[in-house]
Amino acid sequence: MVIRLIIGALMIGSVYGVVGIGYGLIYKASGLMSLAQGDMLMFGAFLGITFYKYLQLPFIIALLLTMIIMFMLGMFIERVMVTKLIEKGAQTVYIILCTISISMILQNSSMLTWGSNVLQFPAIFNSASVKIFGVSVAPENLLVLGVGIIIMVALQLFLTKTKFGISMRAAAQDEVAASALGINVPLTKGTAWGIASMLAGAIGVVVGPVFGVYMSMGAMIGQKAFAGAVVGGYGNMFGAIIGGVFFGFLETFVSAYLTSNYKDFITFGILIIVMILMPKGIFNEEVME
Amino acid sequence: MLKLEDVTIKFGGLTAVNNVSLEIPEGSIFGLIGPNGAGKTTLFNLISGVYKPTSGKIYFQEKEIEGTTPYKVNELGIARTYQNINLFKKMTTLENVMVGCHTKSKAGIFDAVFKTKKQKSEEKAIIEKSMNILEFMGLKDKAYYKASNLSYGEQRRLEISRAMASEPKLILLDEPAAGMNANEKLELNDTIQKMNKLGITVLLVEHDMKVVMNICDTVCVLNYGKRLCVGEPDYVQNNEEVIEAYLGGDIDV
Amino acid sequence: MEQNKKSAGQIINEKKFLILEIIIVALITAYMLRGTYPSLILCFICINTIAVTGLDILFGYTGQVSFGHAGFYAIGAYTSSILSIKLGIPVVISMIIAALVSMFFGFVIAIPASKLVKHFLSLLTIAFGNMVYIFLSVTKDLTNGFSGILNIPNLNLFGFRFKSNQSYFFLFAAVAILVLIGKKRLIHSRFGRALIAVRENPHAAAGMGINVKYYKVMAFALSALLTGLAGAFYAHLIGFISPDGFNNNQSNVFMTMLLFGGIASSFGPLIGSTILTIVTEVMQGFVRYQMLLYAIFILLVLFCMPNGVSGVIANIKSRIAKRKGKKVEPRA
Repeated sequence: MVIRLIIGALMIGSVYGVVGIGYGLIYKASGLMSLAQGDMLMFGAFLGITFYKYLQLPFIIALLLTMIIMFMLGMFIERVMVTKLIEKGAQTVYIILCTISISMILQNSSMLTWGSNVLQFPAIFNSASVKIFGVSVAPENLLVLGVGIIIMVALQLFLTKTKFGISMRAAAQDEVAASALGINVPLTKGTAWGIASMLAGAIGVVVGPVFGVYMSMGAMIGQKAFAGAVVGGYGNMFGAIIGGVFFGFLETFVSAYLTSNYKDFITFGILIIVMILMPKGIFNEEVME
Repeated sequence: MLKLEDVTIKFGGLTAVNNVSLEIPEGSIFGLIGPNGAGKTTLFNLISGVYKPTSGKIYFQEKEIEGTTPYKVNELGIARTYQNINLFKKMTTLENVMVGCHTKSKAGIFDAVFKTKKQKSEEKAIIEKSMNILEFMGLKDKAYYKASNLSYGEQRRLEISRAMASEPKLILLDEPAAGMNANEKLELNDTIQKMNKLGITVLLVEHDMKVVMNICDTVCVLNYGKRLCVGEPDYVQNNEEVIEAYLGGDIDV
Repeated sequence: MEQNKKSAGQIINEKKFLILEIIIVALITAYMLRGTYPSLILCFICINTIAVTGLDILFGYTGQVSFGHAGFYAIGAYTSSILSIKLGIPVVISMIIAALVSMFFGFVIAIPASKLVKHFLSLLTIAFGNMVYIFLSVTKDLTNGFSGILNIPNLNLFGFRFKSNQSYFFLFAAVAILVLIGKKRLIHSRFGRALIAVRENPHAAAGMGINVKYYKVMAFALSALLTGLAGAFYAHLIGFISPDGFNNNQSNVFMTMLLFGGIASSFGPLIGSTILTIVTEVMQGFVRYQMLLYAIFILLVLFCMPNGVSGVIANIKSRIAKRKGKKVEPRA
């Protein structure tokens, strides 16, 4: 029982973690906040199911295609909408509002395109379950965990080992100095938004078989991932993962042992308490004003 | 009137103000000078309650005030202006000064919503008082302009007007002459002296030596957060340590 | 304050305009009141105006954002319904209690909220809105869960029973007008100036003797009071409430109305609620597109008219005035 719960918690925690990393990336690169991350996940899931189920493409191709499209979508939002708003001198709140309306557009255009019913994602693996520590688990659950871990590792390598990743980090720390050194700062910003939405889309595709694909699937996940990112110290990638896994465990165990009805209520309650008591999060990340 | 005793503040490893003791007598114009980064503005922030000193005490009229929140410091009778102009930009000039009257007026939500007699007469008095202050500062004809539409020098004067509206006993002016032309500076000298004659003690941070040396009774020089010397303008000007701190350069009048 | 420098002729001219506007609005209103359904729309406009005015005091004037105002709306609606059904409290009193309960929650949220800025404030208010929504959906004993509460009694005031939408409209319109007048008075007072000062520059406001935290908390409480009252009105007008009407989307709808009408302006909330309520009702047949439409409205405001409709109107007015050779400063 406990092992099954732990695996479940790790799985959902890695989903929150990956989406939370996206929030952190965007914040680090541009000092802004996007509330559309959850719906990026939903949109990615819909794209994935379209490629895999309706166009009969192999799963890995469907996943890669989704990631490419999501990357371009994120880049488009930053380059075309956000930048334009900033040029107009809009306050942060208005950019948040802009991302809220983007998420409303994503939700509703998905509903109009794919309908408002829950779509069943066909099984990816032939076997219905695998055994781990004597517990049978659906392989799709493990896939989520696996993809989550791969994404985190790959992102870490990208940011620390590749030239472009390093220049992204440099640009995040000091825009002026970075552009003086010849780093294309607008490009790094756009890329950060692109990667954020790409990650959310990718995890959306793998989470589809577990939860089913429907229009409002992203809303709660997005908000809890955000909660995880804040608890971990906003803008701190490692913190986002820890925070995401924390909320994964919290909700899994609360709903198993205490109450399943109030699990989300408790999650948000704890988020508020953390924000009051530790405004800088677990990892003491400095907050820009 | 204002007394600092061994005031020190550290930010991490940096000691921005180091063991500074000062006494500002009532009714004086007290100048605070020093090279960039000497800790002048930090000292202002300590007095006005923005920072709490790491150690040391600050007395205002015999009352300990270090660590008091800024709005309470203002209620006690200390008003300030800011080096990097902090006006309420979308409000008119008049409204800015009216906000300054906050501590000296009382009306609350209910008075406002029900427009009680008390509120009406108070409001009238506030407008009248604010207009008088604007006239005193030579801003009356700009009363209905948005604060952001004023010129730089006018914005500085508006900051002083706003501070005066709270009827302070002590006013802290942080580089009031910055960005002003020669004429405006002369006018500013006049204004500060007039203000002083009204019974307001003035503590002045300023880079422009002409302004400082002309109007201050006493001048204190800070360097690297430490008190270098205190005395009358003439004495300070000829002090060797001070000249060295300024590299012998720009202290000449 | 700006009227002080307008010439006498201009004031008379503006008064004429205002009277003309009032007559037109009154005629349209009178015509709409002949039908039950148009009256309902008018009631919605009044309710939304009250709720959005609440949001305006918080966001427009004090600069604190809230993406969770549906929470206060829900608290007002549910408190009044439950009190009047389960405890048999007269509806007038239950409405007042509901508004006060909402205000109490405003206080509770404001205390942590007053410390937070920007992203974190947004997140806190979203979390609050979600918590209210989840609580309503799952606490079946109290709120009847997703099935909602039926048969909420009508208002009964001094022996007069409010049954028709028309009768409700007169009450709501009166309250909405009082709220708008009250807001205007509040803003042009010591209290209102302090709120705006806090929005414009919290550091300078504190330096001028304004207790920033107190004013932030009071703005939150006042805002919650108004939005809660609007929620109570809504519940008794419709007679049925369920959690679906009080989710995140509702918070976004309030925000859209405010932005569309124009923040921190006298009639912004009224204009925004009127236009968007009517648009929503006209689009009733295409209810699937409703949220999409709201999203497009937000983007439209953000990119094309940052001061909302009232900003556009102010611009037009100042242009006309300029053409006549008079100088009027445009809205900042």
